[in-house]
Amino acid sequence: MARIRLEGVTKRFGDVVALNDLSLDIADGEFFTVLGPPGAGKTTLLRTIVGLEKPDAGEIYLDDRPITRVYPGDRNIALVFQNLALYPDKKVYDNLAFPLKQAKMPRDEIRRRVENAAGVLHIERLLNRKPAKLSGGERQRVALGRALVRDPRAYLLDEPLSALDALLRLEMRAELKHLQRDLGRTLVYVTHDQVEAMSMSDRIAVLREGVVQQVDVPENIYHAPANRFVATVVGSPPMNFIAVKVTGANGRLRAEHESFEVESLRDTGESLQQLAEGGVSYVGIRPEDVTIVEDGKGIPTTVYATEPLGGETIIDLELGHQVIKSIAPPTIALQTDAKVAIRFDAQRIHVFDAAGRSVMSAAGADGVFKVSFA
Amino acid sequence: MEGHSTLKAFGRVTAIVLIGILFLFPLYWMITMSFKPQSEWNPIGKTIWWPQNPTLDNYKQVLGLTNQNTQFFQASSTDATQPIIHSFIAAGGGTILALVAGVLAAYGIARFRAGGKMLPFQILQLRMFPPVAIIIPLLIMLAYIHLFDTFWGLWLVYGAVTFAFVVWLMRSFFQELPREIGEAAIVDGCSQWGAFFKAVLPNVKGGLAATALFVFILNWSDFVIALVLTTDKTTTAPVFLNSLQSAAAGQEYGPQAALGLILILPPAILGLAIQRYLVRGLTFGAIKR
Amino acid sequence: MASIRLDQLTKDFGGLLAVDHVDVEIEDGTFLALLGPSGCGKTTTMNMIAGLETPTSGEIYFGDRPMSRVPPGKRSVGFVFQNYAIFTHMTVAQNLSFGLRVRKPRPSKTEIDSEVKRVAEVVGLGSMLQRKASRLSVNDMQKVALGRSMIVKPSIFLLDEPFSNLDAAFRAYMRAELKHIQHEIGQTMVYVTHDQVEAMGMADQIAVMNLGELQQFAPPLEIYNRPSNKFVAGFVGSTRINFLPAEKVAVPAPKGTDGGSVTLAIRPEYIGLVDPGSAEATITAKVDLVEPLGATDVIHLSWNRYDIRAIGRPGARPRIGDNIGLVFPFRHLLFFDDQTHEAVNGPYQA
Repeated sequence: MARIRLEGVTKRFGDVVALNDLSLDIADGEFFTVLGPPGAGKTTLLRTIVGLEKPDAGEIYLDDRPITRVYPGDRNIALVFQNLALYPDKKVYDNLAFPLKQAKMPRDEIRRRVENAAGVLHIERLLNRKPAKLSGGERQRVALGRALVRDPRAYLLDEPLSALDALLRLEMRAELKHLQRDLGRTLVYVTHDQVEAMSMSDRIAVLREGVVQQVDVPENIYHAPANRFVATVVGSPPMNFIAVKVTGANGRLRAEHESFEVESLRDTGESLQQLAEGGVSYVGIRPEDVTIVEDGKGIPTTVYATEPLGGETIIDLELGHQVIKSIAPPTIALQTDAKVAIRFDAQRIHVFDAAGRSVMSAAGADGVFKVSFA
Repeated sequence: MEGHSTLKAFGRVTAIVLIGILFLFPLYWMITMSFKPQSEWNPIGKTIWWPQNPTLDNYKQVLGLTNQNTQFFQASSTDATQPIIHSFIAAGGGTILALVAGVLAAYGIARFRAGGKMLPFQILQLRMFPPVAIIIPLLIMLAYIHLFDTFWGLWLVYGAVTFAFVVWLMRSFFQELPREIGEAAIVDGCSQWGAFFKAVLPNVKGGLAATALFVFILNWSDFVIALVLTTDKTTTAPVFLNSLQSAAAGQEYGPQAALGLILILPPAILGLAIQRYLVRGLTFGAIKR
Repeated sequence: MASIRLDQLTKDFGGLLAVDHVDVEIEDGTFLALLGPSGCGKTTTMNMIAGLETPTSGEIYFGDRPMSRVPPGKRSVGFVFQNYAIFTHMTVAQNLSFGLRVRKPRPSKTEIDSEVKRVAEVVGLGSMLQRKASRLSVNDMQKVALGRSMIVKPSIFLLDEPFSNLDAAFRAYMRAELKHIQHEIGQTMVYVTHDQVEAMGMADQIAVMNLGELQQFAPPLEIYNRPSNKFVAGFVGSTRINFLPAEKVAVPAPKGTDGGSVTLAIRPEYIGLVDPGSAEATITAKVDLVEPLGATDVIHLSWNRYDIRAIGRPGARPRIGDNIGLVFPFRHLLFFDDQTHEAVNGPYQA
């Protein structure tokens, strides 16, 4: 069992607060990703879990046992560093055997485990080489192997794929996912790459400047983001945010734009209180949910630029004072400055308040919002 | 354009040759002198550029392989074997002391920011003035604790004097090594000491070798400290070499040259032996993280 | 006029042939992307266009004028580098106006101010003119760099992976902006990148390079739909194209050189998904992994030890281990000779 729990963890480096009263609950056997931009505190989080950093406040639990004061080597958690930190002076075999030697394991047990791990990671023929003579992908596997041989209760991986080229990254993503499934162990994965996070995780925690923004399954992070930051962090091209004026009437929410209007079809009660009457709010809609209509019956826009990507084309549209993006099939033929009408998928609309918090999200459901235009 | 570059090349070559001669001439003179018989050391009226009757007598004298054989009155022997051994012991021990203390201090400063911002500079300051300036107080202190003319005395002083070099050099090497390597060892189950010996040190071998050699050479060639802090029991080779020109014995050019050449050997051999570590280490930690 | 022609352009670094006889010709006002993996020679090519490197052989023409002996300062090119190189101690306005202030004869203050304001609006810094450059976000710093090179109205713009250090959201934003700017101003732009999405999205023409050699020079959609060789086919495309040995798949396939074998290629988004037993299915494969990417899923399948990727919709997500019938529409099939790796026309392609 390896349930990892952080409660109220704070870590400061001088004036900078790297982790800010952070609480997380990671289930046993979960592929848990911490996603955030550089400087969000992801590496500090991993280092705190493994014990290389001591929190200034808060506690860390491994299966309900507090480990905040336990020496890193005794926590039975393996950390794979971002720069791998292989021992340059030792051969691959000795790199893999190192943690086992520290645990004073008998020689043949060490040999068995090292060969096992090498087999799983396909690095058997590299055992006699030194790290300097390995390629990036091979080094990555050795670093993983060093964690694997220990059979720890949890794995912490710090951006393990960021140094690899695009092709290798794709391969390793699939391998890692399979590996974690076979091992059945808790894996905490840190990355700034949202595609990695979306494709591999059971759950994602979005981190910003040491504060957790949202913890949820990938679909919800994508379709029901808690705030604008989360909405922007996943999804490429990023979500469009259209400035609107929000009014409430009869307990229902109404977002007004000069070219369209979004109305909620249900009572919104408390959510309305979040919004200052008449204050600036934002309607969020992802580019793939903005459709260009043939019959001209829709919200009027002007084409700002077109980006043909081959498999699809991104159309940048001027809507009022803003430019929003829409994804269209590759066959579309539009020129800059052309006038086109667009429609929004009402099941995919979000409303955010001026501070960026999500007020209401259709999250794929029908009958939540209605969009009307002139 | 063409004429310019040939002139420049010619000037460059001339400069190199002249500087080369300037630096290599003393070596040349010493080598030839060491093989000259006494008659050719300093004959009146002429200079002998190449030994006409080369002999190994000087070497034999210096290594104690023959009986004394000079024209001048001998106040003491010219057998340098004891002093050479003493030099090894003194320089070796001093180097070891400096390394042990310095490497640990350097790691503390590099990894754990021991002593804050000021400590590294305070340590470097130690070396900013020459030991000669405090040699008399050192003499008095050593005498007081009965360490005058002992190896322990020399070791302590040599160690102290070169400690700053070790710290300064090794600190850069430690800084160059990614800290994650030590941290990986800790995560793998090592104690701090274990991580240091098993993961960090093996990866600064080059720097360590370069530093050790550098310090050894400093201690090996020291003259003033040994001159003041020793007399007959722990005489080191440079001091002995100096004594080969006492007023009584006169200028024993030959044996001096021979001994001088012999003294170059240990550092040179040591350097060759650790050459493969040196190649990397000799950037002298100029790269800062 | 600022048309550019590269004529057998070559750069040999004495042992490393960085650019190998590249021929490219673009008209004035074209947005050209030099696309390729690191080490392919694209930066060296751009450095030669800029004048920072001299060609070993071959020539560069701006219009009709050969440029290889013209020093960079006299080429009237604007640069934007990867690490923005702006003056951090000056304000945004001072940074932008720099190129004008050092010009001889120096334009009047009103002229400079109006130009600065115009450029600032174009790059989106209109409200930040008085801010000190050191207090800007990295995204805004790059905008300053862009504006600074724009203000002197160079006839040719050279940009070397200017956005590669910036976050994904900003890159998406700047792609549209840059494209719009280029459309408005009409300057010739040469843009170096390893990111095929950038190249595809912005460029009028793309020159794909690998190991110093020009692989294909064509507009984006042609590069995408008619790649000239296996490398281009594999390099371009957000989800990597599928390569399979043609003889193992039941589709009409051409023959390669000397009757040799060919490799079949099909892009993931063109693969149709049907029931495993269906008559439409070209092959049946097993689902290995499903990657949810938000709007779409990437479905990883295996078939006879080959990995295949297809695109699915989240609404109809298969489970791991399911068998799925894959349809390869003939008109979307590409073929590549196994010896030369060049594209071979299929029997039913136009």
